[in-house]
Amino acid sequence: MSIILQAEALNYQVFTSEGTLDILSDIHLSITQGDSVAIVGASGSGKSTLLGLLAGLDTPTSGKLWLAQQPMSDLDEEARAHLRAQQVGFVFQTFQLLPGLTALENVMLPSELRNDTDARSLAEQFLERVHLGHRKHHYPRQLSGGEQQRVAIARAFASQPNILFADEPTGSLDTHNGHHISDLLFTLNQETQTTLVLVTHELTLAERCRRQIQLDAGKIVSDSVTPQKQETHSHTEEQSEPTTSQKGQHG
Amino acid sequence: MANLMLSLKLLWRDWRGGELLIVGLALMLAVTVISTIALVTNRLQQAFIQQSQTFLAAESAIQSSKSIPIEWLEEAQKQGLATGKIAQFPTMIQHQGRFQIAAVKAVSSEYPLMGHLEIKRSFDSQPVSIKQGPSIGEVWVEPHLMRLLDVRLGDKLTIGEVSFVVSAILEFEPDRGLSFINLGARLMMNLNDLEATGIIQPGSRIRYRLLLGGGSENIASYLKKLEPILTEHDRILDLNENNPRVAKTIDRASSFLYLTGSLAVMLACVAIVLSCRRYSLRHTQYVAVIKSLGLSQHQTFALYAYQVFFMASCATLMGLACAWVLQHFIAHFIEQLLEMSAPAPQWKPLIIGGLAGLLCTLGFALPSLWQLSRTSPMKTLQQDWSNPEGKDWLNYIPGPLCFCFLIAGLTNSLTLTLALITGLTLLLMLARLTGLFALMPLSRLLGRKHPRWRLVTGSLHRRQGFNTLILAAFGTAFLALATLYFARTSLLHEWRLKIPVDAPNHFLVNITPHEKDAVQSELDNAGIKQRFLYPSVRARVTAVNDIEISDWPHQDNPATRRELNLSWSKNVPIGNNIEAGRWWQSGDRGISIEEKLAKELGVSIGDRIHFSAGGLPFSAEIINIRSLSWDTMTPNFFMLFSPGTLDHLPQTYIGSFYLPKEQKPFIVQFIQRFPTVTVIEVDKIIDRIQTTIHQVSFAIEGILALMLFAGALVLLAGVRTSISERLQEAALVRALGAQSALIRSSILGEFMLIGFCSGGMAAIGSELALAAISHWALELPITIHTTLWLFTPLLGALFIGALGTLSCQSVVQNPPMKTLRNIA
Repeated sequence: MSIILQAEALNYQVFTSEGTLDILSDIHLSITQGDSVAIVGASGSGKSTLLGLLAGLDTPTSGKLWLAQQPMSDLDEEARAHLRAQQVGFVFQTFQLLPGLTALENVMLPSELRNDTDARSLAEQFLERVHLGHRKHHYPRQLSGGEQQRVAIARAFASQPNILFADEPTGSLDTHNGHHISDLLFTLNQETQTTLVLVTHELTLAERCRRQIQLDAGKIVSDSVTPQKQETHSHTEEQSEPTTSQKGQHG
Repeated sequence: MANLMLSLKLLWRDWRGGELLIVGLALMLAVTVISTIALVTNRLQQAFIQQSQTFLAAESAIQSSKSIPIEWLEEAQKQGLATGKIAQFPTMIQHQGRFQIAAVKAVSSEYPLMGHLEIKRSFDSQPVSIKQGPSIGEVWVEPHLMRLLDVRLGDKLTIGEVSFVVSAILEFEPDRGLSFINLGARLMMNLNDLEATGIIQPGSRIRYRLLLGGGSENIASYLKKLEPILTEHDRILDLNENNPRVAKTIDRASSFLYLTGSLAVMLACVAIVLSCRRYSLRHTQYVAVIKSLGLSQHQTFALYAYQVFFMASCATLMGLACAWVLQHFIAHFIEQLLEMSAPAPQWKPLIIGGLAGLLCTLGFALPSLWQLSRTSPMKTLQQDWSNPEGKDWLNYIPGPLCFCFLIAGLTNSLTLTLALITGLTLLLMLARLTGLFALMPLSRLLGRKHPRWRLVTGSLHRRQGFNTLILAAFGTAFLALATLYFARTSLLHEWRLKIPVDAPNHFLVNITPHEKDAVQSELDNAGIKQRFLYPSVRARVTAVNDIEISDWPHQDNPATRRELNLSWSKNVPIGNNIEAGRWWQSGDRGISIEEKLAKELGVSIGDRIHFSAGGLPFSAEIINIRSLSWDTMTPNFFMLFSPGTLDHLPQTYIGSFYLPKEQKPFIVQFIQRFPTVTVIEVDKIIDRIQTTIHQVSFAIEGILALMLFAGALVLLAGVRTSISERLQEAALVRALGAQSALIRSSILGEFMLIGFCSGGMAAIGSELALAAISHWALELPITIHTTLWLFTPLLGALFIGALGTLSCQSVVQNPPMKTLRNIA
């Protein structure tokens, strides 16, 4: 299986009046195509900053980063944006739906930005898949938190990304809705063979990923693989098909 | 193209936000103001050029008190110019024992080179347009003169030694003019008949003109060649030479209108900046999200720039359409006022309006959007939706730069632009001071007495920048409106009261020496005692102290280029004061000169001025310098001579008298008796001036009303910027148990207080401006206008109070739960 994301000696510092703050130090990691990775850690450990760097939303102070074989750390903002448009999808903790657009318009947006001609049909298809086809003309304020996150997931998958970044996707939801959303996320992840990188502080969600990377004070302190998932991933690598046990997790 | 379509789609989806509507309205307003002024000025300029050219009946002309040399004519023809010749003079016409003075115009066969004549071949036929004057042996006569001479078409009348057939009634000539020589009834004849009449003798009051046509460049090169050989009796008549005051007045009026209009444009631009900042703030999340979805900064900027340019184009087109409609009304109004027709506007003013719209968009809307496009996509993870722009001072440079560029381009004057910018800066400082030392203390004072008022004080304290803007915007609008209103009502009324009741209200012009005694006895018979009669000689300054006027350092003064009316008097005239020197004693031969003219000409007591009256030279020394009072309503002369100095020169008389209203029929009787004397009814002219001032200030008040509209847009945009903050405050106060009436009354109180202070600021400024006008322009004692102090703050409080309360409706109406949930 090919490597889709690779980081070497990533450092991220911010400069304040009181001196330099090291947010991330010496991060090395590589993620293979189709894998699911959870970045976990306490608040302030640098999870979201790492996610931002990996997704190309920001640039590291030093270090190298490749996304889909492109040297992301050497690209300017324009080229990184182009790469994001082609490769990356996002799910955010606070959904980040645009309040002035309807559910359908929100889902269509990434495809429209790429000038895709089938933006509408693709968006409608994904809204059906998150069971919100009947509410496509509703504005975000007319939807509950769980529904808004389902729209956000439909938007993330409608752009058919190779890699999907999710920042605390269940962080703003109650337990019931949280489960529902994580089921949806993993089901679509499997169906579309998208690589999933998510940041969470919830252990149950992290355990549903094949691999967990633990951050503490900006450094990777552990990088482990869930035993049964290790087997599943190697199986997937061979068959490129979701296994029965994985399908069972979709709920 | 796809980006453009997407951009338009997003614009359509986002229109509900409201900020773009304010930006659109503000742009439309700016374009309307600039284009209307540009269109009206353009029409006025065109009317002026057209009128000046037809006024000459040629593109250019040379006027001389001597016959036009044949060499000039040959040179003009050699250069391929069209030429024509005119001779004008007053002379006696005779018909069957009746005599009448007429203003005769002898024209060559090429006359008129521009415009046309209108004649009637019989009394009851329609006038026909014709491009040629009378044939040899024929004359055309104005109806008025035909009645005076009792002459009919086909009759013969005599000029000098020759008889002519009256072949047509002269209805219209393009270059009728208003000089003294043309004031009598007109008779037109062929120039080739002139010599035979024998009336042209040395010293005759005759004026010759060489008319020129054939393109401005050719004429300019011809005149350049001719200029060195022209004497003081020859004058080139072109547009500016012919009527320099009109050209300057139009230029000044247009600059003044642009400056007044630019205040409205400035306010519109402030509304644009405020709305764009609010729009940027509201779109920070939007941009962070679309950038995280893969849109680059340039693509993001293009997305917004397309939207704004599309919206700006629509607003500009609508602004141009509004201006087109408005200028029709204004031009119609001006046509009636000036009794002339203004030609259809050209396309250039529309380009000026379009460029103004573009500059406002580039300078005031785009910087916020550029900053918006720089929003980091990391904000989606950081949840930081603060305004990306506020910290970057570079964003505040393009707006003022574009504004300066616009004003400099419109007024064509760096001085005016700098004056305006300085004025605006001072105004903002003044508004800030009003906020600090009037608004806030007043609010705190009220807060001490009424605890509920503290909400208002708190709100005013938090938004001091916004208060300064509103104070400046409405303070200026109210100031300008109040000043104009009180100047045209109260001051003009006071000025009219100042004129003595029995001040002369009729002027007589062009009384010949042989009519003088008859006129005096006619006035005596009518019981008119309050009357003055002065001799008048028309002459041109040729030299000062033996220095030719063309070499004199002050030769650019208009008085050196035109003929002056000179008179003499034994005693100091009423309303005149000797400022330097002494009044003459018997035997003195000298000049008394008006002090301003002396200053402009750079002459003083002891200087000798040389004149030429119709080719007859004479000179005299300045003996004293006088000041004049125009309020006496008697004829005033800039140069008076000692008795006997001008006796040998051709002269007419000018008079003035007071006639009570009930004796008005006397004027008809007088005109019938002295048809060549022109009667000017001064009271009618004053009425006309008053009406004109009323109408013009009414028109300017129209532009100022647009300024109020622009101020309202600034207020709306400003309120929108703070609306979430206001909603939050109101929700919290209501959650603590306050009723909506309290919220409503504190909003009303806040805006009424701002309005009251703007009105107060305007009242102070307006009273100062009125005092300056009273003192310097109208020479009236300075008075305090109590109604101004009473009504301006009151109306300000009501207007801004109502506007502010309306724009904050959602703050009162929004359920507090909804707002608090959104905050959480």
